[in-house]
Amino acid sequence: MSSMLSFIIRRLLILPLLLIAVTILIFSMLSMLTPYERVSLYVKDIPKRQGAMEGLIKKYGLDDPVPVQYWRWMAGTKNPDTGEIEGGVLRGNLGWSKTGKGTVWEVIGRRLPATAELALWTAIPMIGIGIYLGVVSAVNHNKLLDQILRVFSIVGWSIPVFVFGLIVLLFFYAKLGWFPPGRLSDWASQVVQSSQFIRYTNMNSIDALLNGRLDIFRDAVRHLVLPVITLAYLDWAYLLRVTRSSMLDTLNQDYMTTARAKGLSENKVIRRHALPNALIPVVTVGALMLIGLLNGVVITETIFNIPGMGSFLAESAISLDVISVLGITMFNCLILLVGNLIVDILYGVIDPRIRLR
Amino acid sequence: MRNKLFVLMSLLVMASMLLTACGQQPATQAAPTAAASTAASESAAEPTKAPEAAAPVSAVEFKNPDTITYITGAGEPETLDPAWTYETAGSTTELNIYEGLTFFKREKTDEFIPALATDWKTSDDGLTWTFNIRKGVKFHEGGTLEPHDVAYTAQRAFLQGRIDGWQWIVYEAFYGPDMAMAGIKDFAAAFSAPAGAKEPPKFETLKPEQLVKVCEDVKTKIVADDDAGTVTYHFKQPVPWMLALTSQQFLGGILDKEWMAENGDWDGDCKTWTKYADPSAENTILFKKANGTGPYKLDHWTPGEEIVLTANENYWRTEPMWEGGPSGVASIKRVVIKNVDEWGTRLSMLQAGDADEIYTPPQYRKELEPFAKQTCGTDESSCKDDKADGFLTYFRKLPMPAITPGQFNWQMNVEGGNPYIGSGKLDGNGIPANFFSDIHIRKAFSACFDYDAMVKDALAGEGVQAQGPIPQGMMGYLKDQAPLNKFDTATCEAEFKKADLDGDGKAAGEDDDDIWSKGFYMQIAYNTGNDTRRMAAEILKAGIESVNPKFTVAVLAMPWPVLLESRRQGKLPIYVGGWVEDYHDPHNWVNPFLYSQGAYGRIVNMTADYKKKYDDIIISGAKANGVEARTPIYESIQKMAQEDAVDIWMYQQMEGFPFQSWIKGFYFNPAYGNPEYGWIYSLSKVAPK
Repeated sequence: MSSMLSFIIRRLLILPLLLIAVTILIFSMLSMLTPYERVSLYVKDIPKRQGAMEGLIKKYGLDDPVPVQYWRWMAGTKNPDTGEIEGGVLRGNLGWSKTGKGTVWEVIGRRLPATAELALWTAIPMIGIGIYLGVVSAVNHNKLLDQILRVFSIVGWSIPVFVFGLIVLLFFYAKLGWFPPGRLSDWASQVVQSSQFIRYTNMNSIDALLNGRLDIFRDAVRHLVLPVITLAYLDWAYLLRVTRSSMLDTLNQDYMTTARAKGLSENKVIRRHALPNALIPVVTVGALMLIGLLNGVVITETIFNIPGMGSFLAESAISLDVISVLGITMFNCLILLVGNLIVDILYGVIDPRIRLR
Repeated sequence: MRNKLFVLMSLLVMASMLLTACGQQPATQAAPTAAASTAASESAAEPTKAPEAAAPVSAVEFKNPDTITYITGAGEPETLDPAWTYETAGSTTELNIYEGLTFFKREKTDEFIPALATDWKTSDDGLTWTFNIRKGVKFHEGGTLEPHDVAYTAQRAFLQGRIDGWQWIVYEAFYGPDMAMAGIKDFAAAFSAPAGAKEPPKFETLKPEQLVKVCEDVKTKIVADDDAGTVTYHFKQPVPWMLALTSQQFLGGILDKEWMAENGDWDGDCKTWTKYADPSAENTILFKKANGTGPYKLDHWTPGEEIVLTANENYWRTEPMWEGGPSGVASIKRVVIKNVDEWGTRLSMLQAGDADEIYTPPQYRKELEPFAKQTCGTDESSCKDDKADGFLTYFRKLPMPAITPGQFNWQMNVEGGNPYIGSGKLDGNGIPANFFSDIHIRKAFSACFDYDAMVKDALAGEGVQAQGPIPQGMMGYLKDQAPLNKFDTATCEAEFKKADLDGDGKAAGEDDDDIWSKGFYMQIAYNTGNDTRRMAAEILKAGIESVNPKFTVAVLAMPWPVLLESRRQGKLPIYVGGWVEDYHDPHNWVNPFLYSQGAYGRIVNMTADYKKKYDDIIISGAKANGVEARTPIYESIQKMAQEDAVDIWMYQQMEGFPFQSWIKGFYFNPAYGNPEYGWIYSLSKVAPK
């Protein structure tokens, strides 16, 4: 236990250093762009008057040396009127996001719940069905069911997400009118924004349950069905293949024969002896998929009009909104590092042979 | 057992899908309005109930009777401060919240009706305009409109003057073309420059008394008299487009001075104006707040999600705006504007009845034809029945004042190398820097562009060939004349042969060292992602390369940041890019394209003789007073711009707006910015029978 604790502490201590390294890397890449390219964030149309671009570059200090800009971002700037220091990552302020029209923290606070809710709902079918079908496929190795599931997974893994997403949207929404895009219907949105509805998590389905509003819950879930199916189908296909191959490896081990020889039923052999061992690589893959979902899924969010982290990052990157990109990258890095830490800890729990040092 | 579990899980998934599907929002149920939900939240005892009634099944369900939902795809506002806004998403939203002294008469762009002014008069020399301010008008937050609010609004906007904002329009009007600076800091520096100074001082070096003087001088230009109930504007030169300015945010968008000061904005004191000068979008109090007098109030704006407006229940207007026009409280009680980037999603929302109108770029307009119940022109009186089972009232071919030329650079910058013009020499592998200074080259390019293919194929019929810088329907457009430049490869070839790029006095067709024998290579740029401009560039390439196998043109997609930089450096030989007007007047067209300091004119980089010719006539047009005096001037400019082939005048794009057929009252006015949701007050939503 003490070795695990020191492992966790070491990993947590290294985290800020990694985050700073990432930001330095991004700022270094910035130095490859001229101030006239970076000013495009503030110039949506051809400048109307002479001197506009130069004025904007001066206003936002885009021609300052990169280390100066980096330090300004880290430590903040002095307000000439009040004399107070404003902003600065070291003071907990990630800066203003021109793309998200709020401080980076505010925008993450606004966008993350949509992404987290999608990830949460996707994780259930993705992991549950993916693992279950992988086991079924492995147990029925080379039988008809296995063949069907393999085809199913290859198709799922091969279809581009924008094709699958648009097809289900056109059929289940435009044609049948069942599952709309977005996060809530207009009537539900009005209720959620009223003062009588308490926002606990900003995840509509969860908050609806906490407020005892089943109608809102149903509406939120209705809006989640298609993006969840889109993401889950594509991801569970992959998880199915990983589980299947890991399960096949495990089923061929000598100790499985021993278990059967001891007279255990096939069901027990699979559930108690094969599955826990087969799940070790699946945990890694599944956890990385979940982390990927939390970082945002650009295409799915775009097709289903979900204002989440993926679209925020894409919009920021396209418009060269450096402050937003830095903030999101730091946040995503944090999720990735913490997620990996949890996976490493889970390894130790699942497999006693693994010792964390 | 396993198979049973599999089947059970599959059934569970299907059942959950069906359950949630069955629980969908009933279509004909009245959704609670924002006002209703506010009232409910005040009582707080009874939670709002979800609608219950079920909708009849139809091709498209009628939803949310009091709400209009616009699904745009052209982005969201940068701010809702009218003094800061210089893009259509913001200005169109503000048009429904704020009001000016005047407003456009229905679809007319050059006829005006009173709004916050009851009437007005102008001096004989056109330099002074006086408006009588309407009494009894209330702001959304309860304040009463007074003349000083009107003057304050214009003074605040003038002095806020963020860099690259729209204020150059009013700087020009009040102080003349030489003072049309990029922002208030440049303006203040130029204003404070001693007479005869070669360079203006830096803004940072100006003394407090100089800064106060700037503000005080501005206040002498815009004067309120609360007792007389008037506001007077004093201009440096006649401003024939004045009523367009008072109808839009430039001299409109009237604010409540006291409310602004209470909320932390400028209070009108000349000692403090610099504190509020040149702010970032988020640093003005109107970034996400609003307090106007218009028919709609801002309910909320959640960036990235939606803008919601609600009807102003105390709206002052009691008489119809025009014959048969709207009056009283707005018919549609709630307006929802959402930005959805993906076309397929927007289309689905229209088909499902969740959208009342969607943004439809030209390449998708044909897709909607099968759904058109009626196809219309600029208003409902022009509608013709189309598909019996359709559900759209489809307004087509609406002439937007938006011209896209292929902009030549007459004298390219080759300092430090220029990758867009190959070798930069007349050797068959590039073009010389002054390539487009030769009028025959420009004329050849103009004749090699297939205008019909552009309109028919690239624009799918949703456009016309541009005649020059002035768009169709505006003063100066030569309505009885076809565009002078026509697609004709024989003319193109002949003009190339007439060129004399090596300056030896021999025409290229008879000179082994010139362009016709040597050939050339160059690049045409457009901004990445704009398919229409890409197709324009490709049509031009095809035309040029068809006349001589030694001619090679490469089409270059440039990301916006790179394009901006290359353009600023003056390195691009041709760039396909357009202009959308600020205010509806030919001056706002000839100035950007042809004036030597205009947005595009300064990049076209004409030779000195052409610069003088165009600058002189453009200034004379701006100074002339009255339609009769101005019309011939702008007609001359339009003709000259074609004859000189200043640019390739490629196309004027048309708009297409698909409304659900239950939306009534739409008419097209191009001065609204985004005309699809320009003036929602005139619309109503009528349930189908």
